[in-house]
Amino acid sequence: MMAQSLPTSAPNSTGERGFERQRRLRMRNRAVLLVLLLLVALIYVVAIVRMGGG
Amino acid sequence: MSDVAISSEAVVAEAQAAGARVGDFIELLKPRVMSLVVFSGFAGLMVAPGDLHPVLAAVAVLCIAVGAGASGAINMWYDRDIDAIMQRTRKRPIPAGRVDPQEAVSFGIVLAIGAVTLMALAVNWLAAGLLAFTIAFYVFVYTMWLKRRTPQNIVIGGAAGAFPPMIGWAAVTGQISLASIALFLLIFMWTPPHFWALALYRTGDYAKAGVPMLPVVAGARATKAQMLVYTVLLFPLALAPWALGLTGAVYAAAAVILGLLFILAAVRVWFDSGERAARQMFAFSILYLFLLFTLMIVDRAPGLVGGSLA
Repeated sequence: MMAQSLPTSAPNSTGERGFERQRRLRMRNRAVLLVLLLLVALIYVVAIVRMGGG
Repeated sequence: MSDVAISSEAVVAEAQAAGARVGDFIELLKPRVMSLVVFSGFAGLMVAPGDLHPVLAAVAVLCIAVGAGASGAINMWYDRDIDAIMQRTRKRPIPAGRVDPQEAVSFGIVLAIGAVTLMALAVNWLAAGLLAFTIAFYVFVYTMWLKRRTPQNIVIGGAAGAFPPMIGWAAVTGQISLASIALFLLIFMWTPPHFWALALYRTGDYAKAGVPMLPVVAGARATKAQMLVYTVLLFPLALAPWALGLTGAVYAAAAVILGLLFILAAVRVWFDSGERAARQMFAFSILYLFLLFTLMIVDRAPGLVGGSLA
Protein backbone atom coordinates (compact mmCIF):
# COMPACT_ATOMS: atom_id res chain seq x y z
CA MET A 1 0.00 0.00 0.00
CA MET A 2 2.71 2.45 1.06
CA ALA A 3 4.96 1.51 -1.86
CA GLN A 4 2.10 1.97 -4.35
CA SER A 5 1.49 5.53 -3.12
CA LEU A 6 5.06 6.70 -3.48
CA PRO A 7 5.56 9.26 -6.26
CA THR A 8 7.19 7.74 -9.30
CA SER A 9 9.69 10.59 -9.67
CA ALA A 10 11.12 10.12 -6.16
CA PRO A 11 14.43 8.26 -5.87
CA ASN A 12 13.42 4.73 -4.93
CA SER A 13 16.71 3.06 -4.16
CA THR A 14 18.77 3.63 -1.04
CA GLY A 15 21.82 4.45 -3.15
CA GLU A 16 20.08 7.18 -5.11
CA ARG A 17 18.60 8.63 -1.94
CA GLY A 18 21.98 8.60 -0.21
CA PHE A 19 23.63 10.26 -3.20
CA GLU A 20 20.98 13.01 -3.30
CA ARG A 21 21.30 13.55 0.45
CA GLN A 22 25.08 13.87 0.16
CA ARG A 23 24.74 16.30 -2.76
CA ARG A 24 22.34 18.55 -0.85
CA LEU A 25 24.53 18.45 2.25
CA ARG A 26 27.55 19.46 0.16
CA MET A 27 25.62 22.37 -1.35
CA ARG A 28 24.48 23.54 2.09
CA ASN A 29 28.04 23.40 3.43
CA ARG A 30 29.29 25.45 0.48
CA ALA A 31 26.53 28.02 1.00
CA VAL A 32 27.41 28.36 4.69
CA LEU A 33 31.11 28.77 3.80
CA LEU A 34 30.25 31.44 1.24
CA VAL A 35 28.06 33.35 3.72
CA LEU A 36 30.79 33.22 6.39
CA LEU A 37 33.42 34.48 3.94
CA LEU A 38 31.14 37.32 2.85
CA LEU A 39 30.47 38.19 6.50
CA VAL A 40 34.20 38.36 7.23
CA ALA A 41 34.73 40.62 4.19
CA LEU A 42 31.77 42.79 5.24
CA ILE A 43 33.03 43.22 8.81
CA TYR A 44 36.47 44.09 7.42
CA VAL A 45 35.00 46.81 5.15
CA VAL A 46 32.75 48.13 7.94
CA ALA A 47 35.74 48.35 10.28
CA ILE A 48 37.71 50.34 7.68
CA VAL A 49 34.75 52.71 7.11
CA ARG A 50 34.15 53.22 10.85
CA MET A 51 37.86 53.87 11.50
CA GLY A 52 37.77 56.42 8.71
CA GLY A 53 35.01 58.28 10.59
CA GLY A 54 32.19 57.14 8.28
CA MET B 1 -6.24 5.99 6.45
CA SER B 2 -6.90 7.11 2.87
CA ASP B 3 -4.53 6.62 -0.04
CA VAL B 4 -4.21 10.41 -0.35
CA ALA B 5 -3.12 10.77 3.29
CA ILE B 6 -0.62 7.91 2.99
CA SER B 7 0.68 9.42 -0.23
CA SER B 8 1.25 12.87 1.33
CA GLU B 9 2.95 11.27 4.35
CA ALA B 10 5.18 9.32 1.96
CA VAL B 11 6.11 12.51 0.11
CA VAL B 12 6.99 14.21 3.43
CA ALA B 13 9.06 11.19 4.50
CA GLU B 14 10.83 11.18 1.16
CA ALA B 15 11.56 14.92 1.45
CA GLN B 16 12.91 14.45 4.99
CA ALA B 17 15.16 11.63 3.84
CA ALA B 18 16.64 13.73 1.03
CA GLY B 19 17.44 16.69 3.32
CA ALA B 20 16.94 20.42 2.75
CA ARG B 21 18.15 22.35 -0.28
CA VAL B 22 19.74 25.78 0.05
CA GLY B 23 16.61 27.16 -1.66
CA ASP B 24 14.43 25.75 1.13
CA PHE B 25 16.29 27.87 3.68
CA ILE B 26 15.89 30.93 1.44
CA GLU B 27 12.16 30.17 1.27
CA LEU B 28 12.06 30.19 5.09
CA LEU B 29 13.02 33.87 4.93
CA LYS B 30 9.75 34.73 3.11
CA PRO B 31 11.50 36.65 0.30
CA ARG B 32 8.32 38.34 -0.98
CA VAL B 33 7.44 39.77 2.44
CA MET B 34 11.09 40.68 2.91
CA SER B 35 11.19 42.71 -0.31
CA LEU B 36 8.51 45.16 0.87
CA VAL B 37 10.09 45.42 4.33
CA VAL B 38 13.50 46.12 2.78
CA PHE B 39 12.04 48.70 0.47
CA SER B 40 10.26 50.60 3.24
CA GLY B 41 13.42 50.43 5.40
CA PHE B 42 15.44 51.77 2.49
CA ALA B 43 12.91 54.59 2.06
CA GLY B 44 13.34 55.49 5.73
CA LEU B 45 17.09 55.68 5.16
CA MET B 46 16.71 57.80 2.06
CA VAL B 47 14.24 60.38 3.38
CA ALA B 48 15.94 60.85 6.76
CA PRO B 49 17.88 64.11 7.10
CA GLY B 50 21.61 63.56 7.40
CA ASP B 51 24.35 61.47 5.86
CA LEU B 52 25.27 57.84 6.26
CA HIS B 53 28.24 56.27 4.49
CA PRO B 54 26.92 54.17 1.55
CA VAL B 55 28.60 51.02 2.93
CA LEU B 56 26.93 51.50 6.31
CA ALA B 57 23.61 52.27 4.60
CA ALA B 58 23.93 49.00 2.66
CA VAL B 59 24.72 47.16 5.90
CA ALA B 60 21.66 48.71 7.57
CA VAL B 61 19.43 47.54 4.71
CA LEU B 62 21.04 44.08 4.86
CA CYS B 63 20.40 43.88 8.61
CA ILE B 64 16.74 44.89 8.14
CA ALA B 65 16.40 42.24 5.42
CA VAL B 66 18.03 39.49 7.48
CA GLY B 67 16.06 40.49 10.59
CA ALA B 68 12.80 40.30 8.61
CA GLY B 69 13.86 36.94 7.17
CA ALA B 70 14.73 35.62 10.62
CA SER B 71 11.27 36.63 11.90
CA GLY B 72 9.74 34.79 8.94
CA ALA B 73 11.72 31.61 9.67
CA ILE B 74 10.72 31.61 13.35
CA ASN B 75 7.11 32.34 12.35
CA MET B 76 7.14 29.35 9.96
CA TRP B 77 8.55 27.15 12.74
CA TYR B 78 5.83 28.19 15.21
CA ASP B 79 2.98 28.05 12.67
CA ARG B 80 3.99 24.73 11.09
CA ASP B 81 0.82 23.02 12.38
CA ILE B 82 -1.60 25.51 10.82
CA ASP B 83 0.59 25.94 7.72
CA ALA B 84 0.10 22.23 7.01
CA ILE B 85 -3.68 22.73 7.02
CA MET B 86 -3.92 25.85 4.87
CA GLN B 87 -3.88 25.54 1.08
CA ARG B 88 -1.77 28.71 0.71
CA THR B 89 0.99 27.53 3.07
CA ARG B 90 1.01 23.74 2.96
CA LYS B 91 3.92 23.66 0.49
CA ARG B 92 6.20 25.69 2.76
CA PRO B 93 9.49 23.94 3.61
CA ILE B 94 8.50 22.74 7.12
CA PRO B 95 5.00 21.32 6.49
CA ALA B 96 6.27 19.80 3.24
CA GLY B 97 8.96 18.00 5.25
CA ARG B 98 11.89 19.57 3.41
CA VAL B 99 13.31 21.38 6.46
CA ASP B 100 13.44 20.01 10.00
CA PRO B 101 11.53 22.33 12.42
CA GLN B 102 14.46 22.51 14.85
CA GLU B 103 16.82 23.45 12.02
CA ALA B 104 14.39 26.18 10.92
CA VAL B 105 14.06 27.79 14.35
CA SER B 106 17.83 27.57 14.94
CA PHE B 107 18.39 29.20 11.55
CA GLY B 108 15.97 32.02 12.47
CA ILE B 109 17.50 32.65 15.90
CA VAL B 110 21.08 32.72 14.55
CA LEU B 111 20.08 35.16 11.79
CA ALA B 112 18.16 37.39 14.23
CA ILE B 113 21.10 37.62 16.63
CA GLY B 114 23.53 38.17 13.73
CA ALA B 115 21.42 40.96 12.18
CA VAL B 116 20.95 42.84 15.46
CA THR B 117 24.63 42.48 16.43
CA LEU B 118 25.85 43.67 13.05
CA MET B 119 23.45 46.62 13.12
CA ALA B 120 24.72 47.61 16.58
CA LEU B 121 28.39 47.33 15.66
CA ALA B 122 28.22 48.82 12.17
CA VAL B 123 25.43 51.41 12.41
CA ASN B 124 24.12 52.43 15.86
CA TRP B 125 22.51 51.02 18.97
CA LEU B 126 19.13 52.71 18.49
CA ALA B 127 18.65 51.12 15.06
CA ALA B 128 19.80 47.77 16.49
CA GLY B 129 17.42 48.12 19.44
CA LEU B 130 14.49 48.91 17.15
CA LEU B 131 15.39 45.94 14.95
CA ALA B 132 15.52 43.63 17.99
CA PHE B 133 12.19 45.00 19.22
CA THR B 134 10.62 44.49 15.78
CA ILE B 135 11.76 40.86 15.58
CA ALA B 136 10.59 40.19 19.16
CA PHE B 137 7.25 41.92 18.49
CA TYR B 138 6.62 39.85 15.36
CA VAL B 139 7.58 36.56 16.99
CA PHE B 140 6.20 36.90 20.53
CA VAL B 141 3.38 39.43 20.24
CA TYR B 142 2.00 38.68 16.75
CA THR B 143 2.90 35.04 16.03
CA MET B 144 2.71 33.47 19.48
CA TRP B 145 0.17 35.66 21.26
CA LEU B 146 -2.25 37.48 18.94
CA LYS B 147 -2.49 35.49 15.72
CA ARG B 148 -4.52 32.59 17.10
CA ARG B 149 -6.42 34.53 19.76
CA THR B 150 -8.02 37.68 18.35
CA PRO B 151 -9.43 39.03 15.08
CA GLN B 152 -7.42 42.19 15.82
CA ASN B 153 -4.23 40.10 15.29
CA ILE B 154 -3.03 41.94 12.22
CA VAL B 155 -4.10 45.37 13.51
CA ILE B 156 -1.76 45.22 16.52
CA GLY B 157 0.69 42.75 14.94
CA GLY B 158 0.93 45.03 11.92
CA ALA B 159 3.21 47.26 13.99
CA ALA B 160 6.03 44.77 13.33
CA GLY B 161 5.82 45.46 9.60
CA ALA B 162 5.62 49.21 10.21
CA PHE B 163 8.92 49.57 12.05
CA PRO B 164 11.41 49.22 9.12
CA PRO B 165 11.22 52.87 7.92
CA MET B 166 11.72 53.93 11.53
CA ILE B 167 14.78 51.66 11.73
CA GLY B 168 16.14 53.15 8.50
CA TRP B 169 15.52 56.65 9.86
CA ALA B 170 17.24 55.79 13.17
CA ALA B 171 20.21 54.33 11.25
CA VAL B 172 20.84 57.75 9.67
CA THR B 173 19.87 60.15 12.46
CA GLY B 174 20.31 58.06 15.60
CA GLN B 175 16.92 59.38 16.71
CA ILE B 176 13.19 58.75 16.65
CA SER B 177 11.33 61.81 15.41
CA LEU B 178 7.77 62.85 14.56
CA ALA B 179 8.48 62.27 10.86
CA SER B 180 9.68 58.70 11.45
CA ILE B 181 6.58 58.05 13.58
CA ALA B 182 4.49 59.33 10.63
CA LEU B 183 6.17 56.75 8.36
CA PHE B 184 5.42 54.09 10.97
CA LEU B 185 1.75 55.11 11.16
CA LEU B 186 1.44 55.07 7.40
CA ILE B 187 2.29 51.35 7.21
CA PHE B 188 0.45 50.60 10.45
CA MET B 189 -2.83 51.92 8.99
CA TRP B 190 -2.18 50.30 5.60
CA THR B 191 -1.72 46.80 7.05
CA PRO B 192 -5.33 45.95 8.13
CA PRO B 193 -7.06 46.64 4.77
CA HIS B 194 -4.16 44.90 3.00
CA PHE B 195 -4.43 41.67 5.03
CA TRP B 196 -8.22 41.69 5.30
CA ALA B 197 -8.45 41.90 1.49
CA LEU B 198 -6.41 38.68 1.39
CA ALA B 199 -8.42 37.12 4.24
CA LEU B 200 -11.70 37.84 2.42
CA TYR B 201 -10.85 35.40 -0.36
CA ARG B 202 -9.02 32.97 1.93
CA THR B 203 -11.70 32.81 4.62
CA GLY B 204 -12.18 29.05 4.25
CA ASP B 205 -8.46 28.43 4.66
CA TYR B 206 -8.22 30.52 7.84
CA ALA B 207 -11.41 28.97 9.27
CA LYS B 208 -10.09 25.45 8.63
CA ALA B 209 -6.84 26.31 10.43
CA GLY B 210 -8.68 27.97 13.33
CA VAL B 211 -7.08 31.39 12.79
CA PRO B 212 -9.62 34.03 13.93
CA MET B 213 -9.20 36.46 11.06
CA LEU B 214 -11.88 39.17 11.00
CA PRO B 215 -13.88 37.69 8.06
CA VAL B 216 -13.99 34.34 9.88
CA VAL B 217 -15.14 35.79 13.20
CA ALA B 218 -17.20 38.85 12.22
CA GLY B 219 -18.15 38.01 8.63
CA ALA B 220 -17.44 39.63 5.27
CA ARG B 221 -19.75 42.64 5.76
CA ALA B 222 -18.14 43.82 9.01
CA THR B 223 -14.67 43.26 7.54
CA LYS B 224 -15.46 45.32 4.46
CA ALA B 225 -16.78 48.15 6.64
CA GLN B 226 -13.57 48.17 8.69
CA MET B 227 -11.46 48.09 5.54
CA LEU B 228 -13.26 51.19 4.34
CA VAL B 229 -12.71 52.95 7.69
CA TYR B 230 -8.97 52.16 7.62
CA THR B 231 -8.50 53.36 4.03
CA VAL B 232 -10.26 56.64 4.92
CA LEU B 233 -8.04 57.05 8.02
CA LEU B 234 -5.00 56.26 5.89
CA PHE B 235 -5.75 59.13 3.49
CA PRO B 236 -4.64 62.03 5.76
CA LEU B 237 -1.84 59.93 7.25
CA ALA B 238 -0.32 59.44 3.79
CA LEU B 239 -0.14 63.23 3.54
CA ALA B 240 1.68 63.57 6.87
CA PRO B 241 5.21 63.28 5.36
CA TRP B 242 4.35 66.26 3.14
CA ALA B 243 2.74 68.22 6.01
CA LEU B 244 5.87 67.65 8.10
CA GLY B 245 8.07 68.99 5.32
CA LEU B 246 9.65 65.65 4.59
CA THR B 247 8.52 65.58 0.95
CA GLY B 248 7.41 68.02 -1.70
CA ALA B 249 4.32 68.65 -3.83
CA VAL B 250 4.92 65.71 -6.18
CA TYR B 251 4.55 63.27 -3.32
CA ALA B 252 1.51 65.11 -1.94
CA ALA B 253 -0.28 65.02 -5.30
CA ALA B 254 0.49 61.30 -5.71
CA ALA B 255 -0.62 60.55 -2.14
CA VAL B 256 -3.99 62.22 -2.84
CA ILE B 257 -4.52 60.27 -6.09
CA LEU B 258 -3.35 56.94 -4.66
CA GLY B 259 -5.36 57.49 -1.47
CA LEU B 260 -8.53 58.13 -3.45
CA LEU B 261 -7.89 55.02 -5.55
CA PHE B 262 -7.37 52.97 -2.40
CA ILE B 263 -10.67 54.25 -0.94
CA LEU B 264 -12.34 53.48 -4.28
CA ALA B 265 -10.95 49.93 -4.12
CA ALA B 266 -12.46 49.54 -0.63
CA VAL B 267 -15.81 50.87 -1.87
CA ARG B 268 -15.73 48.35 -4.73
CA VAL B 269 -15.03 45.57 -2.20
CA TRP B 270 -18.03 46.79 -0.16
CA PHE B 271 -20.37 46.44 -3.15
CA ASP B 272 -18.85 43.24 -4.54
CA SER B 273 -20.37 40.02 -3.26
CA GLY B 274 -17.65 37.89 -4.87
CA GLU B 275 -13.88 37.68 -4.52
CA ARG B 276 -12.77 39.73 -7.52
CA ALA B 277 -12.71 43.17 -5.90
CA ALA B 278 -10.92 41.82 -2.80
CA ARG B 279 -8.21 40.22 -4.97
CA GLN B 280 -7.80 43.46 -6.90
CA MET B 281 -7.63 45.48 -3.70
CA PHE B 282 -4.96 43.16 -2.27
CA ALA B 283 -2.84 43.60 -5.40
CA PHE B 284 -3.43 47.36 -5.44
CA SER B 285 -2.51 47.71 -1.76
CA ILE B 286 1.00 46.42 -2.50
CA LEU B 287 1.33 48.78 -5.45
CA TYR B 288 -0.01 51.65 -3.29
CA LEU B 289 2.67 51.30 -0.64
CA PHE B 290 5.42 50.65 -3.18
CA LEU B 291 4.51 53.78 -5.17
CA LEU B 292 4.15 55.98 -2.08
CA PHE B 293 7.62 55.10 -0.82
CA THR B 294 9.12 55.32 -4.31
CA LEU B 295 7.70 58.82 -4.67
CA MET B 296 8.92 59.74 -1.22
CA ILE B 297 12.47 58.74 -2.26
CA VAL B 298 12.21 60.45 -5.66
CA ASP B 299 10.71 63.61 -4.21
CA ARG B 300 13.35 63.77 -1.51
CA ALA B 301 16.37 62.96 -3.67
CA PRO B 302 18.42 66.04 -4.55
CA GLY B 303 18.23 66.96 -8.21
CA LEU B 304 15.22 64.74 -8.89
CA VAL B 305 11.86 66.39 -9.60
CA GLY B 306 13.12 69.47 -7.78
CA GLY B 307 13.02 67.54 -4.51
CA SER B 308 12.96 69.22 -1.15
CA LEU B 309 16.71 68.84 -0.73
CA ALA B 310 17.52 70.23 -4.15
